[in-house]
Amino acid sequence: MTALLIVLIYISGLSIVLHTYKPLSILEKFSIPLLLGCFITSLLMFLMSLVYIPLTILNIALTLVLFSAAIIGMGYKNINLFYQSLVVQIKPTKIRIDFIWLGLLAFGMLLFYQISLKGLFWPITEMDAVAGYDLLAKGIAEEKILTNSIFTNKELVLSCGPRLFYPPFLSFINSLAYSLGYETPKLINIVLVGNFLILFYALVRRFSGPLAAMLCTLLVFITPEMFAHVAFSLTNYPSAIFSSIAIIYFYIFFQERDPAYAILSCLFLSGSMMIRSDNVVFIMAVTPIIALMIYKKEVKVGHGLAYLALPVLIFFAWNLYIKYVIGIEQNSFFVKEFTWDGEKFDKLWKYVFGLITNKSLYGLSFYAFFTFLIINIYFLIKKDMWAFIFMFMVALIPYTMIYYFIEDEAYLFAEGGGWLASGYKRGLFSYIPLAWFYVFVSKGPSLFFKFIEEKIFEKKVRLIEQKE
Amino acid sequence: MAKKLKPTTPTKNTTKSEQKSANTSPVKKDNQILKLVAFNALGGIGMIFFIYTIFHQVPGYKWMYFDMLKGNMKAIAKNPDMTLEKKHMQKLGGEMELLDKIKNETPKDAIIIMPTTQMLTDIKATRIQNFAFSYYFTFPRMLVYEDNREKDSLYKKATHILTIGQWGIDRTDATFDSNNPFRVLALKK
Repeated sequence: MTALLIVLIYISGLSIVLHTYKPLSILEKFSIPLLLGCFITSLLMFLMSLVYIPLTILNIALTLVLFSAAIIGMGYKNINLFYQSLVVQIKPTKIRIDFIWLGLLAFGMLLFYQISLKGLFWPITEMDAVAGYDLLAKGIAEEKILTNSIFTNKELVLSCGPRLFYPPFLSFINSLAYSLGYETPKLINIVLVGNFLILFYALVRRFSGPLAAMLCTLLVFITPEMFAHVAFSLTNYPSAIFSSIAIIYFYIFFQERDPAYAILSCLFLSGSMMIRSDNVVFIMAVTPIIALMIYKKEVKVGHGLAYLALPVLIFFAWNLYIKYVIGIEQNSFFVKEFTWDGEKFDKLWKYVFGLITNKSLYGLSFYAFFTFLIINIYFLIKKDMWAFIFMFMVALIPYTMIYYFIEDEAYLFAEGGGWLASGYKRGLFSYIPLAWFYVFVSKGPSLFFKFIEEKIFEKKVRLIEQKE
Repeated sequence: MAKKLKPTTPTKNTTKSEQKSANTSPVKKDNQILKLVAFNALGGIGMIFFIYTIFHQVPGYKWMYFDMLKGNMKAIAKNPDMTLEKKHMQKLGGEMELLDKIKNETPKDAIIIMPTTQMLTDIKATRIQNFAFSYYFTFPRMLVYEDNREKDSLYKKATHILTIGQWGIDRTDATFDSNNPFRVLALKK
């Protein structure tokens, strides 16, 4: 049953790829389906909950079959073309004698094996999962409904706090593992990360050579705090996966105007909204670019709104569900009345600066990002990757400012578990892949790797042609 | 009179096949191999130096590889067949024994009375004072704390009790001959 369910989840993601396959590389076609499949499964489980269909494995499998059949049916003409595109892409190419690439791959795989072993060995003990979404996952698996006894037990809800009200992606996906009789759902997180790394490599590879893409992917993977999270079952890594891929695909859409990228970006962004509501900052980041494209008549108003509709709908649907169906009024942590507090603002940004420059947490990630931002200043003035930097900053600044509005200052700045030291710190994961993507894809490093590819391997590398 | 033949230089108009044959000439091929060897040798050394440096000099990477990963690999190699209960205890402390006891010794539909917060503090069981934490490790069993006996409607429906020393034993019919200070016993009917 496990294998069947995995296949169905994969096919549900593949059904989307069938509509967007044309501009995708083979690695993207291979890695996207499982990521999107997990999002689709969680979305379908949420819709099933809304109409009170029991969340049994059989019901979920049947719903996935129906969904996949409908989506594949809409694009059945593409099946043959999709297959042919795979055959063309799989054709053997010239052997590349690049032992550095191979060495980096081997080292990355060794680290991935070891962290997976660690993850699978230890049970879930992280408080956010234990007293939050994984507890809910157990409830869903046991009672086959989202509004289960965990939500109806007031003492328990009080004890769990806000962890219980996270959007239900991880709870739904983890519940599948419990329903199938597994002791721990940790393999899911590991598989998501594995797929993400392949996809991220493929995305960097679009703009650079294999060596640059491999080094970039490895540097994302070994970001210390993020690396540790591969072995956990928390929302932060999946959230980083979906939001960063959404932004990268949106950037590619902005560059190339192929609607396939917009569809993928929209779905990944919607997936990120199924994981954490604070990912709303990424909707805020893409909205001005969509508005600009509409203004320049590069995108139709309807298409722009359609892009935003699904992630926004998921955001509101979950919050309304919590309020009206579960019947829980979340206590607000935010200030009731806004007054400007310069001291708090100053303290917040000093704390944030301390975090992002902490090499124990993010290694060289933010150092590299800001260094290359300075190195690339000439190209940036000439609008190199301006849309990408714009989205990065427009997401990061409001994300930080959310914390300014938290009322309980003592808990906000508390070391080892306060809002900034835990939540904010882990929320920065979303920016790590984006930071390294910029470092390797921006003009300066691109020219260096282009030189290597063309002089050593005699292969043409495409550099991004900037759109105004 | 026959025309003098002039040597031709490759121009932009040379055909693809001519270019291909020029590219694959032995000299060109040798240069290509030389470039690849030099690149792999020098680049490889550079990359090893880079990776070695960050894993030895940058605190986060150093911790990640030499402390976290290596430490865990050693622990796993030492006890590959560690039971779930032992893993819980190793990660969360000895008090996990109480929760595992509840899980192993009661049916799934049991409602268990937990001792007061003060009693749990006295035996240094601080984590299991957190309702959500204990609930997770004993789910789908339901827990009700002695402190909440008035507030929690589940209290009256309780089927079992976690006893500490003599506390709670009077509410059970059970007879026992063990000296274990912690027991999970069925309540009197």
